[in-house]
Amino acid sequence: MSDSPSPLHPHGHNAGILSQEITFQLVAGCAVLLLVLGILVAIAIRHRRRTALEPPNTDDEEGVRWIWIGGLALPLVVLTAVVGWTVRSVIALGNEPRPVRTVQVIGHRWWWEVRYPGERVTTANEMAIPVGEPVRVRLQTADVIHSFWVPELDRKADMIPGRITKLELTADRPGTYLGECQEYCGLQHARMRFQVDAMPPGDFDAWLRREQSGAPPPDSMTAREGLRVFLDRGCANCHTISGTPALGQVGPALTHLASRKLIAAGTLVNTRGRLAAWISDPQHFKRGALMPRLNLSGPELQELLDYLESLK
Amino acid sequence: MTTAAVTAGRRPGVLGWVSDVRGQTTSMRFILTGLAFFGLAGLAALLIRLQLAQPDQTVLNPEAYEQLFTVHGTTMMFIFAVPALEGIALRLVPSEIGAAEIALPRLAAFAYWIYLPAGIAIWVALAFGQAPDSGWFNYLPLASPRYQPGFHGDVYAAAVILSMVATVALAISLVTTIATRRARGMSPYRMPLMAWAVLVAALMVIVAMPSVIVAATMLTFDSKLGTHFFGAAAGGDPLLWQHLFWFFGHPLVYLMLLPGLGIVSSITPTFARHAMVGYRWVAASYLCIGVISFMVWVHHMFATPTAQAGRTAFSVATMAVAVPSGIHVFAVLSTLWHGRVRFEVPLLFVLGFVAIFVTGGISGVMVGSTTADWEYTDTYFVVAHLHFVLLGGVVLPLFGGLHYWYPKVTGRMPGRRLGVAAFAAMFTGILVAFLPMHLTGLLGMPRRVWTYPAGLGWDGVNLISTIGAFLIGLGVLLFLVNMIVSLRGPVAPPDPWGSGTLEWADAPPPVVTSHYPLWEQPDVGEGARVGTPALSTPFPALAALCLAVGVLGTIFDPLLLGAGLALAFVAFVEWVRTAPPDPARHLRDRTELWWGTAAGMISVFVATGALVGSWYYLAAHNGQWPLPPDEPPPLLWGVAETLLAGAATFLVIRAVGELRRDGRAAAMLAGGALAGLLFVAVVAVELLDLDYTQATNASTSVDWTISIVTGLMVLTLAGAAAVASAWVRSGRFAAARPGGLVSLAMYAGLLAVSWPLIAFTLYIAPRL
Repeated sequence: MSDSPSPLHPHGHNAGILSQEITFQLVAGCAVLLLVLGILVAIAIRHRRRTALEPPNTDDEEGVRWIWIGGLALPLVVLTAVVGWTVRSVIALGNEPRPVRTVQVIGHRWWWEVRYPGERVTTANEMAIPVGEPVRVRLQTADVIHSFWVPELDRKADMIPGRITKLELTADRPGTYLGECQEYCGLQHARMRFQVDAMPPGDFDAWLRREQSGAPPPDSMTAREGLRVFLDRGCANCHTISGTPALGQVGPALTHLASRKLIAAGTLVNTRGRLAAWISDPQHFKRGALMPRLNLSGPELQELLDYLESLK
Repeated sequence: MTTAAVTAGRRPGVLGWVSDVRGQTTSMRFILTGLAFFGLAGLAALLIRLQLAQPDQTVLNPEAYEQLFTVHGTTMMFIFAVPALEGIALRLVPSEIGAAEIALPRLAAFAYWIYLPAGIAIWVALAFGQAPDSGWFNYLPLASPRYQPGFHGDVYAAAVILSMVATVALAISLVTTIATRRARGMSPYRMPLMAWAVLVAALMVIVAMPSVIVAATMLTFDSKLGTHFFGAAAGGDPLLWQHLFWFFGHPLVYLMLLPGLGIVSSITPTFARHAMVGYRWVAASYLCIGVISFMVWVHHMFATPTAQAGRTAFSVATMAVAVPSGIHVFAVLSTLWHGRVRFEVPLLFVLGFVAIFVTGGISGVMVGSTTADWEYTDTYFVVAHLHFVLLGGVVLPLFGGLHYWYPKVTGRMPGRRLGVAAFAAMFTGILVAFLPMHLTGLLGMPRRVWTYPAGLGWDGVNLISTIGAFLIGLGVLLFLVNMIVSLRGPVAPPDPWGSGTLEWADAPPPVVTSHYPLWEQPDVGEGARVGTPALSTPFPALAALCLAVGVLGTIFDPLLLGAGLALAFVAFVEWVRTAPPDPARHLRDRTELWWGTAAGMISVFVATGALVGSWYYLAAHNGQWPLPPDEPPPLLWGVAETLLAGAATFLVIRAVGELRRDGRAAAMLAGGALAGLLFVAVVAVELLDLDYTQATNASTSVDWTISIVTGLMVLTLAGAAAVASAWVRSGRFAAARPGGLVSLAMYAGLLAVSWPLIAFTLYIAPRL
């Protein structure tokens, strides 16, 4: 299942360590289970023909050795191995290289605000990192408890009001890695997905420069009208488009919306049609989201789309 | 149940039905009500699985899904498992240890009438779309009106408080029965292992439940009174809820497991015709499970920002609990190997227990590793684990026990074929539903999602799980049909399975099959007596219902609680007044009332500890404490309160000693009541004198709450002392039999011990 965001497909330093621990646990666990099931089968076979009531045996000392061996010795040996591996993981995770770069992720209901402090980059639901370079992720929440997890790269960490938690992500190879919210946070917890794009350092620098720049000015008349719709019809109250008067902080920043692959926190693919459907009726896709229906007219919607598609 | 047995003093009609406080009645009510809620919660699960069978479905909308999965969890964990298992314990353990009736039957009846409204409230709320909707562990700040508008969180808090008070009351009755009503010669080391399991489980209830009762009360205060226990903005901490909840929540699952293990230990020797191997080992393993389970709660919080060293320590403790579980499982396996096994239906359930529970235990060790759990927690892997241990360790033994003891309770033999079919369907269904979920979790699917997208590899496994869930439902249905159909089945002989334990020595209820039973069934009269039944009284039920209405009323208006408490107090006074006198002569007499009160005092002390402990937790969490404008109150108040509290408690305790020398006892009790009232007055003046309120910030919240709770506890003492004074003066308590006054004195003693801790926290600690 290579499409699955699975911790068993590690592509990062930390995920690799944890994947080894999972594999060890699966092997050891299956071994113990087979032993116990084997005993059950042996019992079934041993007594398969018994139906009559035989005299009861009140000796409770016979067979105590099973308890010593199976109930005390076996668990102690297995558990010592499991605990030992936990400690190994703790040490290995502590040995990760020091991160150079910090990315801040703030959880909202139901989207992810992503900031690169010091780089003046604000985006949403997608994060780019350079391959092979450790990145510290600082996690906070703006409302309830969320949890950040990109299974192929690292462990999960809860985002708790009033606290800052940290993870270190390192991607071994380029690719797009899916993540999702891992703490029940209300109606649309199911639709709060995330993407980490790992790219070669050169590409990453280019990405960063693009993100730092403000939105390109509208390149056609309909696009100019679209910007006017954006500013006049309320979008700017919630969304920021850097380089325009739109400075809303309630919803995701949209400065480079057109270069995102997914919208609504991973709910929909970013095509003109889907974007149109989303804007026309966000509640249909994500009931309970704070984005209202705007009741734009047909032409207004098309103009707005023309503008948004220019935001590369 | 209602048999042809002689029922002394049972009044007719609805009043009679409510006044019936016999142990057998109460226990059957708990079992049947618990099972009914099991069925309802199971139906909720089937709806959930229907919604998740395919990606991107809208069989259920998100709001409905939220409430259904929360109600499934809360019902199973609070309303089904502990009450039904305690009910089985209440029905079986007395006769296993040779008792004719339970101890403290009125307390057990009270427990039922407090529990029933809790379950009904959740499901009625569901019908109105106001059921709890933030998961069964109800994390904050999500579960507050700000993020989940409506009554959902308030319903949750009220249901938790009621159902937990009920389980504690029932546990007190169980512990007292085991302590005081064993037959001659039945030392603790000769008790059946079921009694050991129930004893440990009941003790765990007494210690664990108060933590969540305190947490739910804080939740209600945050919601209705504007306090800030869990709100980060004003110094509170959402993790405080998690600590308080899981300190209760983890022991909860083990105290659910233990009666299941006890049932397994009852069935196994019977069908192996062999004593349970290693009795002392098994009893010791139950004790170890009980103790260790209180030391592991942070393993539910491995992904939170707690200290790594602490997490590793909790990880090691979590692993440790696998050892006593392993001891029990291998004792069962050894017994089966060395015995002469007959594969009757109850034993099939035991075999199912071994397979399913051990699988769950192994995945439990896996999630117990603090590092690996970072990949498992909040995914379907945990859903798989918890269902394997609960279905394997609680549900399968429970159903095995129902089949096993069916002849004892009904006098008929349960059908074999249907029983085997039911077991096969349930066992297979469990595997088909939950084994794939290990994979689902390892493929990254999070828990508590109302839907999921196609193309992530989660589709097929979810469909398989749904099919398995329906198979479990079929199995439960077949089992239920068997229970009903067998009521007309063949009559059971007195000890149909050939068991060795004492509960089978009671004759089963007589099954009358003719108009003239004594002519045509000469032996029927043997089963006609059920021992001395408890005298009926409606006051436990009344007190319970008043309290329930009061607590449920807080969903709408906090003042209703006051009314409910006041009425409940009146009913409680009548209850005590009409109860048979307790034979205690002095404080050291270990009567039933002594044991029951001692157990209750442990609970109250744990609750006080949870509240006071939260003060220190929040102090450590905030750099500066108290948070301005809160400041330590003037020491003068503390001195005055200490003197008054000391006087009140001292006078009440001495009054019990004075009763042997007539006369002064009534005056001392009255004096104690007065001192208590003055204490409450001083606290009130102190609180009114403040220029901030409980809603200002977290430190004012916790200080105010501690003061209010202390005031209420002392007010209760004063009220009870006043009533007792009047009774002593009227001669109700004969000089040589102070009876229930001993309980009052013990309560006063608890307050005397708690006050220094409280006073230190309120007056001295903030100055340090």
